[in-house]
Amino acid sequence: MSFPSDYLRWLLLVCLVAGTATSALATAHIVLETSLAREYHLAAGDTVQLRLPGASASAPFVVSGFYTPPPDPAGISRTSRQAWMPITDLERFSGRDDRVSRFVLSLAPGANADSLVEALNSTQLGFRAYRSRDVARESSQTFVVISNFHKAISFLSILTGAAFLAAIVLLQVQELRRSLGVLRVIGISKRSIYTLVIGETVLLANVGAAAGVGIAFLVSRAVNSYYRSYFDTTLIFSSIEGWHVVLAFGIASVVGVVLGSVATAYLFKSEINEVLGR
Amino acid sequence: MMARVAFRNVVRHRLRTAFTVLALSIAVALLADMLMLSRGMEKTFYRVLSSVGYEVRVCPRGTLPFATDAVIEESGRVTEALAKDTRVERTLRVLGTTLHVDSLPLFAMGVDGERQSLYRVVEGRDVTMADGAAEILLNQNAMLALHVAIGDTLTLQRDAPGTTMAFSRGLTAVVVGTIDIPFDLPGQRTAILPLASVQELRDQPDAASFVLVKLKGGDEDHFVPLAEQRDVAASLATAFPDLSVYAMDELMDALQRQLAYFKQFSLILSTISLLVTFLLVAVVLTIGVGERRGEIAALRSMGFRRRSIQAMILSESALLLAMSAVCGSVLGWFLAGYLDHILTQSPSLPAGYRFFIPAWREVLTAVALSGIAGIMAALLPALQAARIDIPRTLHEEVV
Repeated sequence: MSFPSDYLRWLLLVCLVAGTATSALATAHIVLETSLAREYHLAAGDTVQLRLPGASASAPFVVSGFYTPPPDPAGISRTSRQAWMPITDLERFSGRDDRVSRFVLSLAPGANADSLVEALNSTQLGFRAYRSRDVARESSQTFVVISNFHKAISFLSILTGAAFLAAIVLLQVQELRRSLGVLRVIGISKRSIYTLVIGETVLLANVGAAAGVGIAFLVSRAVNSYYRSYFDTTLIFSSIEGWHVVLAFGIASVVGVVLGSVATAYLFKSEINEVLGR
Repeated sequence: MMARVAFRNVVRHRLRTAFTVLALSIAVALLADMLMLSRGMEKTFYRVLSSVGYEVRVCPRGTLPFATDAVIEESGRVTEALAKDTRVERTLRVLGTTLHVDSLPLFAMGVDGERQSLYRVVEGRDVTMADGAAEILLNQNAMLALHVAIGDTLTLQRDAPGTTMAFSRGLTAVVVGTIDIPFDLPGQRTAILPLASVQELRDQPDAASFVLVKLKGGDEDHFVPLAEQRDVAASLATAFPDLSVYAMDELMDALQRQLAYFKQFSLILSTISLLVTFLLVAVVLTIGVGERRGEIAALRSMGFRRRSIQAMILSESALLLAMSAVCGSVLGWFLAGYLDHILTQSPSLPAGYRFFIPAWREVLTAVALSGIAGIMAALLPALQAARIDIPRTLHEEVV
């Protein structure tokens, strides 16, 4: 359904008294959040009784339809439900005339938003104007912080993975010492051995990265499934994008090359006889 | 004897040991930090609630203190009922609202009650509840922002000034002191007024955002036992079915539900850390055993028992874990501070709120859990080492 622009977005808080599907002659109409239809078994045409926070009297409203608000991360922990009604009905219901929480302006093509905001704020009429992007930036500050937290944890995970890989590569090189020593004795160049070890390390790291990406896809699906159900929303909580996969394989390759080089250098430091166990 | 052999084995491969210890240390540090994250929020909530000093909270149904604009309409009936309850020492009604001084918003709380522990008067005196000229207390942020001192007069408006100024309710109040409130948001301008003044400004006589209840038997620093708190909360909930009543633990549960994400995150990451520890020890020792098959077979042929070989592998695991425990504890301790610094950049967090509180209990728990995971991971390579076919291995290794 479309969302009429003159409907005021209004928090219901806990003032909905449901289950009063009567045929009372109420003129005021209301659009309710879809989840309310489920929770209170409401249908279009039902009448609900509403009261304002702190008021004892209630007023009837006819449910004209339901609306699912677009997913909003900022409202994820919101426990209240939303309802929309024509602003004139809300004014009559609340007893407060000519009063709004905010205006939303849609600018003409080519209009300069910055100069308009500046002009509005210089009027000193008791309001403050913001650009949409400033509001978005302010309201997403918490998510920026959480994102930074995730980055710190990711860095530690990469460090753990690299150290894990380094230990394994060193073990592997140790295990292959004698074979590699034989290769050197029969004339295989250091460069070829170097390429062999690094190739093996990079392959190992990338196999690990591939497994990690696979697990990440599964975990991501599980996370989305769980949190969507937990918060009753369609928000995307975890998404794996192409650059994540590229980054995973890129880091794995770099770590593989670095560790392979370190391991080969460690191997080449030893004398051939020592390597061969003589 | 076997411990010494294990020590030599670990020391012999310094670089490998260093990388293994590094990876294990990070896993231990992450585990410790996730335990700190889980407990840190709990501790912070408890500290905030303790600093307020009341055991039971009565709120509008389905809400938490200051979570919505909803109010208890006839709060007087709640305090009257509580006054008759012999278990109750005192109550405090609080009504929160936003007021304006010129264009500057203030978070104002109307309170009633002679003795209270919601805020601390740093300078001046508390507001008196007697009728007459309204009095106001301001926190340091408000004092600085409004450029006022004790004794100055302020004109407070319910609405922001502008076109509606002529119709909005106003109040003139004398600043009588400076206050400190433990759960203030950073930079928040807070004011305390008599409850009646805020009720009048909001045009809601007898309204309160919530009622705080102090029970008999405790003092400012110690609360009555939880069972007693729950009893009082349950009887109040029965008497006032249209309100939500919380004992300390119930309120903590409700607050923590709002930060469920961090709890779940810490649980998932703790599990992953333990899994990494398990895998790392298992892989490193399994490859290590494979590499030293000849050495192990030689030891067995010299008369070392299977149990001794198992003890050697387990000792190696214990040594790696011990080194990682030391490094991981130190790393985890400092890392907790860094991660806490990141998360406390979030807006709308009360001053002094901590996600990570470094504590030895969590560090020791992490070390113990990692130790168990590491020793369990070492069991399989230890069994493999003990079951080596001596003649065949010696033949393969020597020839």
